[in-house]
Amino acid sequence: MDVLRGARIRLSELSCAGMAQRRRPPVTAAPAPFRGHRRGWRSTRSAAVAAASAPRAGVPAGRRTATGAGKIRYPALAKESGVSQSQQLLIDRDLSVRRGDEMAARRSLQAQVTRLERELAQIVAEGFPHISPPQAHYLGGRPSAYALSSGAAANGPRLLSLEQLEQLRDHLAGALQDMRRRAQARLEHERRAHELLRCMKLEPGRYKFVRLPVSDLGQGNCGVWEVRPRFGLIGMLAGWWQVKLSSGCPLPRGSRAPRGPTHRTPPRAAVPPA
Amino acid sequence: MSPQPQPPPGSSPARGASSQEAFAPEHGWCSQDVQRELPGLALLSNEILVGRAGSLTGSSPADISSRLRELSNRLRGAAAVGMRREPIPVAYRVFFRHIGLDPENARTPIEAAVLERMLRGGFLSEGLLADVLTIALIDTGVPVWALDADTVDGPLGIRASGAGERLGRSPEAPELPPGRLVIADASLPLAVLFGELAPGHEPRGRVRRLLLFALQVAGVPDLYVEEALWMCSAALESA
Repeated sequence: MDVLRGARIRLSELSCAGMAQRRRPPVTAAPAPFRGHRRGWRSTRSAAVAAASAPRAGVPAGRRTATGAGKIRYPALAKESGVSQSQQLLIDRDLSVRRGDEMAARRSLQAQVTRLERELAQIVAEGFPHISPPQAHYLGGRPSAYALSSGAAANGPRLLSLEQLEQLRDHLAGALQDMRRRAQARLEHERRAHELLRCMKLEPGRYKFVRLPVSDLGQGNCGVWEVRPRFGLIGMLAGWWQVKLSSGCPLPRGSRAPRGPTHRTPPRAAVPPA
Repeated sequence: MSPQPQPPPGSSPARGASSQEAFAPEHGWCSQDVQRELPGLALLSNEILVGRAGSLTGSSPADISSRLRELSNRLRGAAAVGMRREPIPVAYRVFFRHIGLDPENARTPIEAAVLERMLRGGFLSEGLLADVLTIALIDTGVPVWALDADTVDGPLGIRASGAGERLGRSPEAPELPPGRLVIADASLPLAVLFGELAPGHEPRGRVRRLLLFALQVAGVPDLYVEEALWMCSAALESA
């Protein structure tokens, strides 16, 4: 048993050592900020998003998106008196990889925004008028009243930065969750209304004078199901109850003109003989 | 909204078919960063000579007015609600998201037109040019704009505005914030993307040469964009 335990320990030590050896970064001439930039076990997309969006040690946040404008983008290196050729090659390679990563991340975010927007539009179209569209979203904060009225400043058409795309994706994902929740609640509301209508039709006497708008059933806006006594007072005393549907929406031409003497056509005047 | 674009009013079927075969709008340029970021975006333009001797803002001929009335009757509340499921309007909604506009706040052209129809009870005639552009928009879902061709310098394209640039050549041209996506000619921005035209470059009065342009986004087939441009061209040339 001890022998087995010892062997197991040794095996685990060996495996851990092996993993540690595999995880050990290769010795390169690159400075510390560049060492971690390798593809590991993560998927390409998540790696691209993380590489493009996560702040990196030694790189100022404001410079993360400005790639390719110059040869050296890192102040620690820029302060040095000279950069060797191999270091410069590594810097160039890193910048091109980062540019590709950022582009992949942008493509991925745009695809997500497309899918979320389509789903949102679908839910709003199906749930109208009970589900209203989500509130307008302003990237980078709500603009001032002047900016809104003049159509100027921050909210015009522009190329979005990676952070703004992420912010937009998160907003749409949140809005979609909210809309799904509301759609589900609406479905549940309609299901309960259908159940109530079924019970009203089965046992109208138990639901005296209960009114159920057809809008609750998802069948339009006008009309009400109501449990009413048959033959008025007689039915009420005798316990004769029935479910009736009102006549629906008012006509577009309005109510009928009232009858009365004021609307009578005036008598035709006697035509004088020629 | 109809999935099949209709021939424009004022053009006979035979003439329309032959002119459509020869119709080839010009593809505008797109700056490298815009092309890289928004790969489906394209600008198509077509220069025409207006057939009408009078003002373009004058009243529309009877066939265009009747077509507007027909569209008003065809497009009711249910169609307006169902528009969010149709591929062309949704493509423009998605594109609005991609350029930082919220379509719930800054409506896409087709949704703005439909909302206007709901609020006003119909597509009211606003002059020949506006009516023709509205008919093309409602029929195809693709927005078309018109510029006075005499004020345009070189081919149109899409780019981001630079620092201190102004929208148009007139002295009262507003200054654009840097990075705004604009429609520009060889020298200056002439319109904000899906926004207002530069003052002084809109066709007014008795303009003879018009430059029509439409914006295609990812998800909108070429056929619809060309159809929209062709409808406007045919209707204005024969007006």
